Amino acid sequence: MLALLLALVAMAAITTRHAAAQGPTDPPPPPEEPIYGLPFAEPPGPDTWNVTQWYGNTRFAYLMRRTFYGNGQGLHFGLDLGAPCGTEVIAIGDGIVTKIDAMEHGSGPHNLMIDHPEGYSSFYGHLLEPPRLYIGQEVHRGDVIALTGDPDLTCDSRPHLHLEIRNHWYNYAYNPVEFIDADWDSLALFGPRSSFSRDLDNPRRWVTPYDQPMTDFGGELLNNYLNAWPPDYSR
Amino acid sequence: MMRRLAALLLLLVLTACGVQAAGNDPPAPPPAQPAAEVAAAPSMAPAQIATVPGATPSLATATATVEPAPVLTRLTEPGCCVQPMWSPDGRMVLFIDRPDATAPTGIYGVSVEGGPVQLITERVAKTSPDGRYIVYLNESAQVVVEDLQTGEVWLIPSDRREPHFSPNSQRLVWTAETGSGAFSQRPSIVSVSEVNGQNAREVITVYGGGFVGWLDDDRMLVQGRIEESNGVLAEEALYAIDLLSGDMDQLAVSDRLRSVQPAPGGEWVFYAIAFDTDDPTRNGMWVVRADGSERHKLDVVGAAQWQDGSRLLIIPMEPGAPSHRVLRFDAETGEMEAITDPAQTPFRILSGDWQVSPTGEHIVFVSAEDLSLWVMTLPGADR
Repeated sequence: MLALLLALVAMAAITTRHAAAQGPTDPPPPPEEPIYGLPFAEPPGPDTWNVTQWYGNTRFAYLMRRTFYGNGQGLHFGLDLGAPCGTEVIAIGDGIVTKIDAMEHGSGPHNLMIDHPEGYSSFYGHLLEPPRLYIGQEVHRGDVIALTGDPDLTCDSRPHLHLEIRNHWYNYAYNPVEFIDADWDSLALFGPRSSFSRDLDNPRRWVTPYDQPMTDFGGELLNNYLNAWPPDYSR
Repeated sequence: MMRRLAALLLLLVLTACGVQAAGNDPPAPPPAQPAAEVAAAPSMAPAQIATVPGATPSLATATATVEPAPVLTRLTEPGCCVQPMWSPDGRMVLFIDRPDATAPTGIYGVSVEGGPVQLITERVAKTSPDGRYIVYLNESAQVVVEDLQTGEVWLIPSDRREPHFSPNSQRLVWTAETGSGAFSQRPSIVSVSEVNGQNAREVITVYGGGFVGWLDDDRMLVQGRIEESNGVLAEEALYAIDLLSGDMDQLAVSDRLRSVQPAPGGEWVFYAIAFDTDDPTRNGMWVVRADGSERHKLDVVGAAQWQDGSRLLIIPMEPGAPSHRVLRFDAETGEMEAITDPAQTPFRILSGDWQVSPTGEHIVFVSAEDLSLWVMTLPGADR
């Protein structure tokens, strides 16, 4: 009980501090160097995990820009890491649990939000079961916080972790690649091939895992291209 | 001359897949012109390559066993281009670009030997392997194939699904996913037609999959679950289907099949399996003969592309290593060899963006170090 009380006080203090430091329209800039770790303890591989969809203007997000990702400016506003159902997820940094199963943020069937003292929040989606944590609980980098699941609820369809980095108002999402210390170019060598949609009117923009725009939830579509490559055959 | 070159290269663009709001009467390709002069293209020629006795080097420590060592050549300025492609003769690297606000978007190209980047064509389109046809969405958002020799344009009954040309450019195939719900349960109808859209027919319905590649002009690879006679969906599998006889060979079984690639000529198939919890021994990278009679599990994971009909090039996934490296697996002999030694030929590929040339002589990649396109000339391509 005392621990819960202390955690609530700590969370309130953090929330107040963040509310004073930033508003919905001025999310903090991303860090100059990665400050967080990977959400898995095991090394990548065919038995453990791999990158399955980058953050940003991916080909899939472009095709789903008016549906899945319509509220996220047509961007894939997280990083997908494929993993067998039940894989342990670890906290990418120290923080306080602020939301559990907050379906207003999507990524069911279960999800988790952790606020970090640096001004950012990490969001873990498509979890197998409700995280066995409580609101206000303090977690540390590397703590096991959840188990991976499958948004299709089958565990053989597309089991993966959807990882987002947001501001504390949760209305902007960042590119997790900028926050997590990892050898992304080597991680890209196993799993689905990186694929970004291209605007033929500006074909150099947003075409690698590193040069993706922030997501302003509710903002206008960023990739509703007149001339896309590859084209959207279903349009 | 340059106009002919531009037209030829447009015809030969292989793997792209779309068109720039094309109508039925595209403008003729403009004369090729210098676009972005590339600074001197440096080469790195490793002085010497260590040789490891024995046929099966430990992959964790393998050093190069092939001489001469690969040579690296920078082709472009930093930041110009991603997703490089090859001209079918393997002599030119192609990419979509718009070098500056005053330049047109188009397919640009640079010789594999280096030199100036040239605009090849402003028309960006998916082209048949023989270069004769292009496929695109017309102004009514219909899928059409255009014969560049005759100017004929045909509607393709793919119901706005992307068609894929067969190796001889005479057939089209497309997958029409239907339904909703779990991706692994959605029915997908694989259909074929002649290149002009005639004689369209359904080949097979699979669940959670579809067409994944051509073995040759009459055989295709399809992945997914098929419905058994009792109405139950079988476990996901990879099938080779003969379009003439209707015969179907099962090549691999797993709910987690990925990255299927037939080798040129259709004798071998590469695939990967990840996260198969029913049988974890399936997890990894595999090469299987296209009739299913022979199979190799590779002692490495990473990115793979065929160099020729039986040799697979692999960039191992080794996070934290200062350099990427190239291995080569020979499906006929079952032997793996190192092609590069990181100490002699250091390179890093940006986010898996690399392509083997059609001749197997070169690899083009986007460098993670300087965001330029580089070419690696491979030894032993002509055996």
